Amino acid sequence: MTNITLIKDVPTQGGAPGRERATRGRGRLRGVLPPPAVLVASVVLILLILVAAVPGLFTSASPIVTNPVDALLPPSGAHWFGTDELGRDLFTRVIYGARPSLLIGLGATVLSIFGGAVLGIAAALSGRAGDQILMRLADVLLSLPQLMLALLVITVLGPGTVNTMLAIAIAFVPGYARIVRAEALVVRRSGYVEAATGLGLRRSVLIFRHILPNALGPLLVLATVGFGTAIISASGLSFLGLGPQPPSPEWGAMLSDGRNYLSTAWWLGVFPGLAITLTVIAVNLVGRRAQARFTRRTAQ
Amino acid sequence: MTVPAAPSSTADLSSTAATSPAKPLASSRAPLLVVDGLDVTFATAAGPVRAVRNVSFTLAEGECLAIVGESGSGKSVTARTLVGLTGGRSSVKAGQITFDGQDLTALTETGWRAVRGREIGLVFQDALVSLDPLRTVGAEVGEPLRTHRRSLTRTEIHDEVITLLSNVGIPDPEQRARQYPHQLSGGLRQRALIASAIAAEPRLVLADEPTTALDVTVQAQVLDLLEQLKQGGTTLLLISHDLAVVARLADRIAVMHGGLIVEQGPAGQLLSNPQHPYTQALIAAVPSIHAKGTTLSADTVEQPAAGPGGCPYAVRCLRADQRCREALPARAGNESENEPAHQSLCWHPGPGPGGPSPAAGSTSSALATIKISTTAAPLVPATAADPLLDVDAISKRFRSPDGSWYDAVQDVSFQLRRGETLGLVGESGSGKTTAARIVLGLLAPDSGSVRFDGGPWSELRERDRRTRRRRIQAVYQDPLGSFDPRYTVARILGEATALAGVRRGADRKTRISELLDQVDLPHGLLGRRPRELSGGQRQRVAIARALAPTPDILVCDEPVSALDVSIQAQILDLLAALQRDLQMALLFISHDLGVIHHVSDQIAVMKDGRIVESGAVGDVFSNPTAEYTRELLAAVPRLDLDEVRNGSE
Repeated sequence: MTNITLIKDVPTQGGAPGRERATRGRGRLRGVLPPPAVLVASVVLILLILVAAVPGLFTSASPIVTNPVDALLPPSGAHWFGTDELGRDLFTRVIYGARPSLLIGLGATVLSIFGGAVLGIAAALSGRAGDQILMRLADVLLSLPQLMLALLVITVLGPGTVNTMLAIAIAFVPGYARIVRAEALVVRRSGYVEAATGLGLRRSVLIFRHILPNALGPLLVLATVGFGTAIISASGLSFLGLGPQPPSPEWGAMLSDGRNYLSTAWWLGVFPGLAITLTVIAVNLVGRRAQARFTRRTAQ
Repeated sequence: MTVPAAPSSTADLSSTAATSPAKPLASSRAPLLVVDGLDVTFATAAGPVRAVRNVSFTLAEGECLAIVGESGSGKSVTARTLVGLTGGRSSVKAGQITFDGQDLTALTETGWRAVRGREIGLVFQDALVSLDPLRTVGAEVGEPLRTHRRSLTRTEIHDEVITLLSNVGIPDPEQRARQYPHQLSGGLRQRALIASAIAAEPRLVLADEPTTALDVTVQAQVLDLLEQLKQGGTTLLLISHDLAVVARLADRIAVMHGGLIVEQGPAGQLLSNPQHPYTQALIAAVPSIHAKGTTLSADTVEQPAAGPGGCPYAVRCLRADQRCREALPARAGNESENEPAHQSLCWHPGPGPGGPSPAAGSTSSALATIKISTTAAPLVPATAADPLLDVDAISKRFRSPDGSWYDAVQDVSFQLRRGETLGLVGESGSGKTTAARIVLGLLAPDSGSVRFDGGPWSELRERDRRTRRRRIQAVYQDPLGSFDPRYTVARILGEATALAGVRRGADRKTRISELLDQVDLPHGLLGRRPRELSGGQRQRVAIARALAPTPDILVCDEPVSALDVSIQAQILDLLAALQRDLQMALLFISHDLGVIHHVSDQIAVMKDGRIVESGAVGDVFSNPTAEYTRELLAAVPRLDLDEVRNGSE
């Protein structure tokens, strides 16, 4: 029984990823680098994160201090994006507006993933009755459009940055919970969970080590795209005056303010709008790329 | 010449050239199919892969040629070439491929369509996939008639379909013709597929693993049907991984390995007197022809891999030398008129000293049948009187999708003693796996009980059973599915050893390398994910994981049925050695009687959820009492060489 050389014992998938890449030779960079659009989107996203983290790096002005003398100036060398009705530099406000927008989007996404994971796993593993209750509840919530649901929540909680985040998160949870539940049901019946049960793993270990990570994979990928939707929702709520309260700069709120001056000062609407659009496109491009890579990996 | 780009002028030339030597023979044994110097290369991301290398064979009218080989040997690609279905990424080159004088290499897609079904009928492995799920069986079988025999009217086609279905032994053909593939059993589906393959009365039927997905009794029926076809004058090209299956039907056998035909010749000669070391290893690896307790896998030595022109078997061949690695011998001269010679592609042919096992070297009659040792004592005498595992009248019912209940396991009892192997044998749906899941404590029986080591087992609450689970471990049929896809081999084994109470750090490392040594896996695989391993390696990892908590009982649920025969031989040998060393009790589940006979001390035969017969393996095999056991034993295809010889004469 020693010294056996297996006939077929060559890796079936063409070997370790590293080796595969090495043999590809010339096409090396093609496998590593994403397509140009995604590349640009990634750069934009990195820049946005930097802007949100240290806005002082990009502008020395204050986004809040008013200066009525300079009110409603068109874009120029001194004010790239012009100024608003209170004479604040619009470029500075767009820069400072990145933080609340991204923060609400990110916070809402993280919270909704967490909530979706907990409820989804609970539904999948809590037996027939628990599953029915949780999923029918999700059905009720899913029958409302996400923005409507968020509005409903914010009406109860009252406006504000944290409440906007919470409202959007709650609106996203039912959909995410369903995805996690469906995945968890598949994973729970999989051979490896059975094998782990047979090894004598504790139920909690089984859930956190095997079921949760494998059920969460598809959701994490979906959430990257959901991040973009969350930013739009946040802007929407702010536009309605339910988000961060003035005078703090927020893209949706700025858009709403600019609406009143649209005929005389176009820049008030255009630049915050562009910021929102650019951010969401960048996030979606990167998110879809991640999604494609993930599906390709699991399909193998 | 390359098939897609073949200019028609040269095609005409070669076609006439090919026809002339074939015509004068004009006997009933004129070659219907001539393949000469076939090369198929696939373009892959990792560079070109030569799937078929310089393959040549002829097939006479009314003859049955079997191409035998393991997965990846190129046998299916060879078959697909003959119907132009190798796919877009392939490049086909051949000195000559003629069918009844017609040059197949020059065919366009339209030309192929006239050949497929009309001249060459196709039977594939999985009839459920090969039959359109949205069309009735009758419509499917009538398709070739509508395509190739346009003159037939609707009612004529219908009548023809009914005749065809009843000819292939489908009972109640009128009703079956109206049903959909999923409403038919596997055996009936395969028959329907054969009916559609022969509908347009092709002169050659090409069957690619026609019985692989079938239960052994159904397989026997399908083989009977193919035999009838052959007797009716149809020429058969049979592709299979199973020597025993083809031995019954084939006049001639070609053994493929690494894209080459390493040996071909008349079936009887090839099986009784194999010349190529690979053929010898293949025959030796079939468990049914061995006395129990022998090793199945041939002794091999690590050898340097052969160059591109060398022999693909040289890596593990005991006879290989430098010459083997550099070049292949030229094929022994052209075959004489009608009787093709028995030829092998080896520098050192003959029954060499590297004969894989004593049993294989003995007389042909010893080779011929399952060697039954009625006196066979269990490998390890059952010392303890108390059984380690006592399964007492367990039953389990499930609800089928239509709401009715069916009994998966009914009143099943058996016992398992330390160091002993109990073989649980039965066809698909007989309840073997359900029984195994109950034994593993993954499923609670509706009634009856399982006792383990004198204490309760199936009645324990999960909380109490969990800590004892490590004493009963399992190896599953699909190892890949039994591993967390995110885990590397190191993590898989790490988790299992952790449960056995081995502390993190140096202790665990030592234990893991100990386990790897036990299952003969190189340590370099620790960083790989199971997806990156071969089937045999995966099953070894699964065994290592099961051994990690030093179990008393190892439940093996079809552990080798997804593996090639030589890998299967290695895994069976490994399990036998481990059992001997570790004194485990084995509950071994398989549909393969040969495998069960090889590994078991006691066996239990299951059918429809019940155990119909049980006893010592020798007794049951030599003296079956239950009708079903007799049927099952009779249905097993064997390498019965005397029979093969008589048949081919």
